[in-house]
Formats: sequence, structure tokens, C-alpha cells
Amino acid sequence: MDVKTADFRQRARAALAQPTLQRSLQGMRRAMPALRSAALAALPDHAALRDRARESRDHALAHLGHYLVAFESRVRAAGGEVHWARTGAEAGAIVAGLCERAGARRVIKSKSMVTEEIGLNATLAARGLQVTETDLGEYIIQLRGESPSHILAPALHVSLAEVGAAFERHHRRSRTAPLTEAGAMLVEAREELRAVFRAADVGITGANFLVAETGAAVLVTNEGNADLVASLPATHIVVTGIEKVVATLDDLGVLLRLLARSAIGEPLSSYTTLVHGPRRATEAAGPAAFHVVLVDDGRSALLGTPRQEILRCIRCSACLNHCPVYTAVGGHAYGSVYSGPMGAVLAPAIDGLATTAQLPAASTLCGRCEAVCPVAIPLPRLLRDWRGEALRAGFTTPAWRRSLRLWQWLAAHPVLYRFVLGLAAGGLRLVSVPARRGERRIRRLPLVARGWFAVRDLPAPEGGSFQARWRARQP
Amino acid sequence: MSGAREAILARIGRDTPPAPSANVPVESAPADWAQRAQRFAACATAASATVATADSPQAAAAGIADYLERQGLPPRVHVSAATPALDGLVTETRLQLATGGLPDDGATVVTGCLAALAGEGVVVLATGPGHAAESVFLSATHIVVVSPGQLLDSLDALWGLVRTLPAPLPRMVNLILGPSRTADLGVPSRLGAHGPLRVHVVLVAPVEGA
Ligand code: SF4
Repeated sequence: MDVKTADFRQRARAALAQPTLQRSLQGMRRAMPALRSAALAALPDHAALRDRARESRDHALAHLGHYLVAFESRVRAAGGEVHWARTGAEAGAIVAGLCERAGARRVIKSKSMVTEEIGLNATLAARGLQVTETDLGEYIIQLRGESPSHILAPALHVSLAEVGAAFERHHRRSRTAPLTEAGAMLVEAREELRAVFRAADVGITGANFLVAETGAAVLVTNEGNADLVASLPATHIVVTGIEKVVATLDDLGVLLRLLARSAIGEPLSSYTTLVHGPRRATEAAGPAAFHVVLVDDGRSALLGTPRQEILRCIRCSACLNHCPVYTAVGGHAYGSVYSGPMGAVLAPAIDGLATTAQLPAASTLCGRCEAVCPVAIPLPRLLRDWRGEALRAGFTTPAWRRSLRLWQWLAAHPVLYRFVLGLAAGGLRLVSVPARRGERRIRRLPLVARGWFAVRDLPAPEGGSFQARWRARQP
Repeated sequence: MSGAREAILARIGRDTPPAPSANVPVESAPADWAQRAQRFAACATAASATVATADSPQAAAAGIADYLERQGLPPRVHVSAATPALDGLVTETRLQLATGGLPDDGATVVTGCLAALAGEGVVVLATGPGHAAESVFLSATHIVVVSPGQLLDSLDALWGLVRTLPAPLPRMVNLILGPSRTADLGVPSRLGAHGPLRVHVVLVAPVEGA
């Protein structure tokens, strides 16, 4: 797919000037951390559950082939088919072929990041299929011709007025007044999509998890759209990543207990559905055909490397919601389907480092992402790992490489290093001003970092340097 | 593209793993029905469902008729996933029952369930000859009647129950916590995005001394 992450800086700057996006992000910064921590504090033993969640993901990844084959055999026994795709293009071709086999014209979808990743809608549209997203957020951005700006709340950047305008443009109805109220928009979307649901030939969903023990594809939503997508059309196709499999229902339970709490601060989402194959002979309703497409697309290359840890990710979005960079610039700035800390680690693996090298660099490495991750992924370490590789592969700017070389040279000359650092610390103290409680803070610097100082300040260096203090402590 | 399967499996390996961890940090819920019902009600109402108790299936049916009157909803109900807990419906003269086919948009559906989970406030339905999942998801109001023995502790107890179901497993096992909602039109979340706008759960109490 067409990924333009190279101009991250430019898009980040544009995002900072978008009032709707900034309001949504500010709401997220204020609300999400408290919601999440309250929901997790209600658990009897959050730390133990997190350890267990990590363990269950590591176990499944360590024996991925075994569990995928077990899952496949259960799906087959239930009358479904499993397809394997090495690349996004291969997956797109498989899904298009299945639609053709079903004689389909109309396709409905529930939100799936993997189908975004492989650009499935474009593939199907190119074959003349009419594809409609049914998750309300996805539906809104589909009408606007945009990509998701958050992995769970894809229309985070769209204002209510813009939603109203999109509906007025696309829904053919006679109106007496403009559409301005959220309740009316919801009713209208529900009515419009009901007709689409009933007319669809194929339903495509992702899967939050696959359970090897029972062959279940697990769908988690709050709207209930995935359940209709998986029930009404004659064919249901699940498109998901090979890493989504877990061994047992117990593992699923552990991860479900953490997923919605980490994501939205709720104990569970409204709907958690285990799908086991097509309609049975005794049933009057439900899809007659059931397919699962397992997509690799760069994932297997991470196995057995230190980067394997990102495959534990359950897409809860906690790392986005707590990231000072994501919550300042939003998802579109990343230019990749996946954004925030998990996106900055995953995008280079899927799209290659050449176009994504700026993403791992777009982090302060403050560590909040790792602290809130329900499966304890060491995101800062993985970001540093990609940075190193980007530098070695020459995907960084010449100015950046020059400054790193200068730093390296300086660090190798201790006397000079101490002198320069002392000079810098002295300079910073000189431009600092008195603040509260006898502290000194730096409010601006001549010529540099104007953007930074427009919204925040810096503490002035106090006392001696670390090295000086260390020497003083030696006996 | 059968080559893809072999190619992927060759990359990721297929060794037989040791048994997965059985260590599950179980959340224990009270064994006593009344306390469990209380826990269930607290969790379900926190997710915008409403919860009532009834002493018998007949009382449950009368309670449903009262509920529809209070909500100003028509007395016509679509019945699906019938269990003995729904036995009172046929004798409740204030209700008009419809079975078979799918409910219209805006309809009320009354269902039994496979289980209800006290620790989560969740009701669990399974598809089968007597129940299509869409009869719940297309309706505007979903009323669930839970038999006394169906009120389980938590998710862990549900997995235990699923393991005892005869093969093949139900096509769909639906865990439902409160009404359908969306946060895509801003905060606070709005109810009734695609699925039901109202979820009302009636817990039938065990017979005294039974
Ligand atoms: S990396 Fe962790 S916190 Fe981020 S989305 Fe994945 S599971 Fe959630």
C-alpha cells in the first residue's frame, strides 16, 4: 500500500494546527488515563493478570505453527475453510476470489486494521465490488475518503459538524433542517446501514483473537455491527494476522479481561462473539460459507528476533492514548495504518524501514507506553532498536548523522566532553529565571526551540554533573 | 495458493508445545444466588442494562409486560432461544408472541440464554436451531430471562460450560454486556448504534428450599 511516512514532520506540524483534532486529542489526554487506571484498579490482582497475559501471548507465539494448524483443523471440522497469505497482495487476491466465487456484488465490513493494512477496500473496489464499512467511525471516514487516525476510534479527527455534512452529502433523503445533532445522526446512520446490511452478499470482519482450542474467531465490538456482518450475508470472511491465535479459552479470558479495560476503561466491550464456522444443517439462518484468511505480511520475519515482542500486541490502543507524541499530533501524522508507539514499531516491519524510519524517531522514549501495555511490550527498547537500524542502513538525514558523529567524538574525549558540558550547563543557568520554591527554570533560549518554549519550559541544571557527583561519592 | 501455507509454516515452525499454562487468576464470585444476583446487577447496570428479579417464569413474564408498559413499548414480542425460563410467556395475556423469522427493525425480542456471568454482568447466548444471532442484533429492545442455574460466577465458569457442550460447538457464542453503544459521535457514548438500544435482564430466583 501507499505509505508516506517520510514527511512525518510536515504532517505533524499541520496536525498541530487542526482545531478539531486538537480538541479530540486534548479530551483523550484528559480522560483516558484516569478511565484506564480506575478500571484496572478494580481488578483483584492486575499485576498477576498482566504477567499471565504476557505469558499466554508468548506461549502462542513460541508455538505459532502448532496453534495455527490446530485452529485450522477445528475450523475445517466445523465446515469452514482456512486460507494462508504470505503478503497483503496475496490476501487481497484470496478475498477477491472468494467474493467472486460467492457471486457477490455488495460487501459489508466491520472494522479491521488488517484489511486497512492490506488495502483490501481498494482491491475489492477495483474488481467492481461495492464495499461498505459498518463501524460508525469507519463509515464516516469511508464517506470522507480518509484513513483511520486511531486504531480504535478511526474518526477521532472528524468534528460532529463534519459528520453531519458527510451524511447530508451521501444520504439521499429529503431534509427540512440541517443535520446537527449527534442523536439524529446516529438514527440516520443506523437506518441507512440497515438497508446495506440486508442487501449484502459477503460480510468481512477481522478477528481480535483466534482460539486454537475451539477454532473460534473472536469479534469484539461495542456497536454490534460485526455480529450483523457475520450473520446476515451468505458468506462470512475473517481476515486476520497470523499472530492473533491464542491456545485456550482460558488465555482468551485473561486477554479479554485486560483488553477493554486498557482500551476504554470498561470491564468488557458490549459484544464479544466467538464464531465457529458456517451455519449448521439444523439452522435456518447464518452464512452458508465461512472462510478465515490468515495474513503473514511481514509478521513471521519478526519471530525469533528481539522484535518478536511486538507480536504480543492485542491492539488495545493504550499506548496511543498515553503517548505524549500521539496525543499531540494524532494518527495521520504517522502516515501509516498503525500509529502511536505500537505503530512506530510495527510499520517498519510491515512497510520496510526505507519509508518509515522517521516513526521510531518520533518518540521521547518516556516509557509510558510500556508501563500501560497490558502485555508488557518493551516499546521504547524496540523503538531504539529500529533507530539503530535506521542509522546503520542510512535512512536518517545527513544533519542527524553529522550531529551523532560529533556527539560520538565528543564522548570519546572526556576532558573536552566535561568542559563543553560544563559550559552548556553554565550557559543554561545564566538564561534561567527564578520560579516557584526557589527553583530556576528556562523560559526561552536565544534562536532555538521556539516551538518548545511557546508551550512549555525546562528546569535549569542544578548542582554538579553526574560525573562530578559520582567521583565525589567514590571512597 | 497452497504454497503459501507451507511457506509460512516452514518459517514459523510446527513443534508440539508443552501444555499451555492452566494458571488462571480466577475472580471468585459468591456461591449464594442472591449475592451473585446482586453482583450481576451491579455490573450490568454499570453498562446501562436494567436488571430485575422474579420468583418464577410466570412472574418473569408479568414483569416483562410491566417493563414494556413502563417503557411505552408495544406488547408484541419476538421470542427466540427459548428455555424453560420463558415458559411463563404463553400464559401472560398482556403479551403478543411472535416466533420464527426475524424481528422487524424496532422490535422487542425476548430470549432465554446459555448463561449469565455475575462477575461481568454479561448474558451469553448461543445460536442453534431455535436461535439466530441476528434476532437479537436487529431488535431495538432485548429482554433476557435467566434461569437460576444459569447464573454463573464469571468468564472462567463459562469456559468450563462451553467445554461440556456437545460437538460441534454452536456457530456463534455471543457475550453481551448492556446495549449497543458508540463513541464515534463524541463523548459521552451513545446507545443503540447497530444493536439493541435497551437490554433488560430478568433473573429468575431459585425456589426456596430447592
Ligand atoms: S502495544 Fe500494548 S498498549 Fe499498544 S496497542 Fe498493543 S497491546 Fe495495547
